[in-house]
Amino acid sequence: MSSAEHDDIAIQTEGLTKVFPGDVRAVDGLDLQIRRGEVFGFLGPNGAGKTTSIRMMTGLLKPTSGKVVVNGELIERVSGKSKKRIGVCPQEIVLWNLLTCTENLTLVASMYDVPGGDGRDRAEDLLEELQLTEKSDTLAGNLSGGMKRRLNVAMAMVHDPEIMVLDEPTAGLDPQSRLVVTGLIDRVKREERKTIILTTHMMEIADQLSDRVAIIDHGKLLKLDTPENLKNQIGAGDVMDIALVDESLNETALKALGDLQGVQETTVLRGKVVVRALDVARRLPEIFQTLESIGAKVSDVSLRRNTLEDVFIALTGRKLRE
Amino acid sequence: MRFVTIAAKAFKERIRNRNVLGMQLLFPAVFMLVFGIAFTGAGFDRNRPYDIIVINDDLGAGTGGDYSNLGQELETIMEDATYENSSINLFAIKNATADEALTLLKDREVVCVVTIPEDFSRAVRSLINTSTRIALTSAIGEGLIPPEMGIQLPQEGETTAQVLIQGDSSYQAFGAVQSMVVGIINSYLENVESAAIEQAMSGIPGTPPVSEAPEFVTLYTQSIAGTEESSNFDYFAPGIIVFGLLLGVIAVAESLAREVEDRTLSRLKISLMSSFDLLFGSLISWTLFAGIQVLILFGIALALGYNWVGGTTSLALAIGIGCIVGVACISLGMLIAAFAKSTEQASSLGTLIAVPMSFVIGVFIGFPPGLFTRIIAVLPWRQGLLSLLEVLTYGSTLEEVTPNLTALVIETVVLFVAGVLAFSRLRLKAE
Repeated sequence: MSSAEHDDIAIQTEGLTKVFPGDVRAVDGLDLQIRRGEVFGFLGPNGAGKTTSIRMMTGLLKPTSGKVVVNGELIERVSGKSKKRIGVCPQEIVLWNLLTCTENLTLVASMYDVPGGDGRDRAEDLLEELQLTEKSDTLAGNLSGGMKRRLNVAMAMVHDPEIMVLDEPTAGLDPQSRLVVTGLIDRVKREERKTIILTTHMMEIADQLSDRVAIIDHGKLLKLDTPENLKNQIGAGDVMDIALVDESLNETALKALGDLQGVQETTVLRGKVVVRALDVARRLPEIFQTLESIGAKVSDVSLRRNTLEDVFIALTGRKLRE
Repeated sequence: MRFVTIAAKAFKERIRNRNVLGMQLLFPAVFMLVFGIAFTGAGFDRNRPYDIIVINDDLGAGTGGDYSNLGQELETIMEDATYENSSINLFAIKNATADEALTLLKDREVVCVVTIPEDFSRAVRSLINTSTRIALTSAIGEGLIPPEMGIQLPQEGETTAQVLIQGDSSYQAFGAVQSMVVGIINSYLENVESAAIEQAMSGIPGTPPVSEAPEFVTLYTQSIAGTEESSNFDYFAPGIIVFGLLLGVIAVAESLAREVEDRTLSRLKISLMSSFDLLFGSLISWTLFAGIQVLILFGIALALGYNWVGGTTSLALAIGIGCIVGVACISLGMLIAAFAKSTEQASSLGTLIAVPMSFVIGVFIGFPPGLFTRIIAVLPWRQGLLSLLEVLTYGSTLEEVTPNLTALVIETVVLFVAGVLAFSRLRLKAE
């Protein structure tokens, strides 16, 4: 790797492996290079090894084997300067419940040697952006779940780090709060060009915010590319999910629909027939006629764009939330 | 100055946590109240031997076959004295030097110290001689005693002696013991006197007259310094302050375990914060809290009638001792938090250790000197308790409590190092 390429890498993992007692292989030989200024999405179902990888990347967990390099330094020997460059929003809500929102933020700022005045200004800005200004003097323990989650995100950003590790930052958020958080991440991405590592099991969030997405399952990296490339790899077009009244006809319907011209892929998932085809909306009459011809009655139908979840299904044969 | 921020954070959390605040301040305050009330009017157990010390300085009187040590005789009488219609002895007499006796008295290991003076035998002989002379002359008439009767009038004695009875006048047991001792000594003197008169008057008709001899042996009761106006509560109040500080073990263990359980410690671990920042910052805050706790509990004790001896210097010294005891409690809390698997377990372990510890070190029970007290002397809380008792209740100076204070500091430092090492290695390193 050239020096310029090396300088372009914020975090690198080589053969990163974590085996927990009982021979549970949570992360298995993970090789990643996360570039400066990109939003790197970590997509995978719960238990895929995302959080374990993040904990090793931030030095909270010792790997069984392999290494993590942050800004050219091994994580176990990382200097104070490099530590200041990283901000972590853990998956769990990690707040001091007996401190106010402002106190929580300024405490963390102080732990990164941010001067008092700057820390308070930064805390005020983040509280405003996350719509928590009115709660600035409220004890964290008295906030609603959504507010706590937003404050949790702010804690990772208050010392203005170059690398932000956001582990499921939108988990359990109501739609409004989710918009506020994704809005903040999007702004930081666009305006500040920070390196953001975003783990999520929500494909829409990964799709919307990530420059590149790593799909992992059972601790292994399955695919790594831009969201568009990943979606294109499993085929272009739209997806139609069809639920039949009589599920025993699913296999017959699968064969019949698969023979139609322009249909790229058919599969059965969770009792539904999934059809991927170009311009599927215009093909609806043809699809319904085919189903009628085999005596299958439709109980429900939905149309959607190809998603990262489809990529995951194509790779694993399972849904992300299974 | 990250440790200052940690100190401020820990202090805010401590005072905002009402449960912990209640446990550390209200709980001991209630104990203080209960003890304050209980030990102002409570009685004492009857029919049990009271521990006393008899220091016999009596040099005896007479020479050769005429020699006798009446002080020894009195001591034997006291040793053999029993309750009426009972075989239970009134006293269990212990041996000690004058200095040891005073310490034991202050510690309430003994109820009373009786000192028989060196002139006791000679004074009793003076009493006998004078009484006999007065009896004979008043019965017969000094000028009328014919030489052929062979009666030799004894010379009037001049030696006097004072038996010293020392004790804590506020200690109810002392009140009882004092009257028993006075009764026994007076009875002894009366018996000796009447026996002598009876012997001298044998063969002389008439009833032996009532003695009109002046007092040759007087009894003087002295309250030990600094406790004249005190009560039993004064003995317990410093202990309850230590008890309050010991409850800090639970709070510290719980607080550190919560940092682990809530993963806030992980958030701090990935920052620039060092182990020193966390532990020293927390130490400052909790020690400050311990100092405030001492002041508050001391104030409550004063309001309940605690007799504080020694002035502001003793109070300042007591706060200092309280802070060191606080550090010992924090250290124990760290040790518990290092091994506890959850906040709940830390709290339970803290309670299981701190509460029995308060009994073991003698907050609520006094222990006689012996192997057990030598063993518990290795506990900093025991040394803290003894130091506070000395300083606040007996008005001892810094110099006087230096041995206890030195032991307290050494034991606390050992515990602190153990606590810091255990917590740093088990909780502040990457998992």
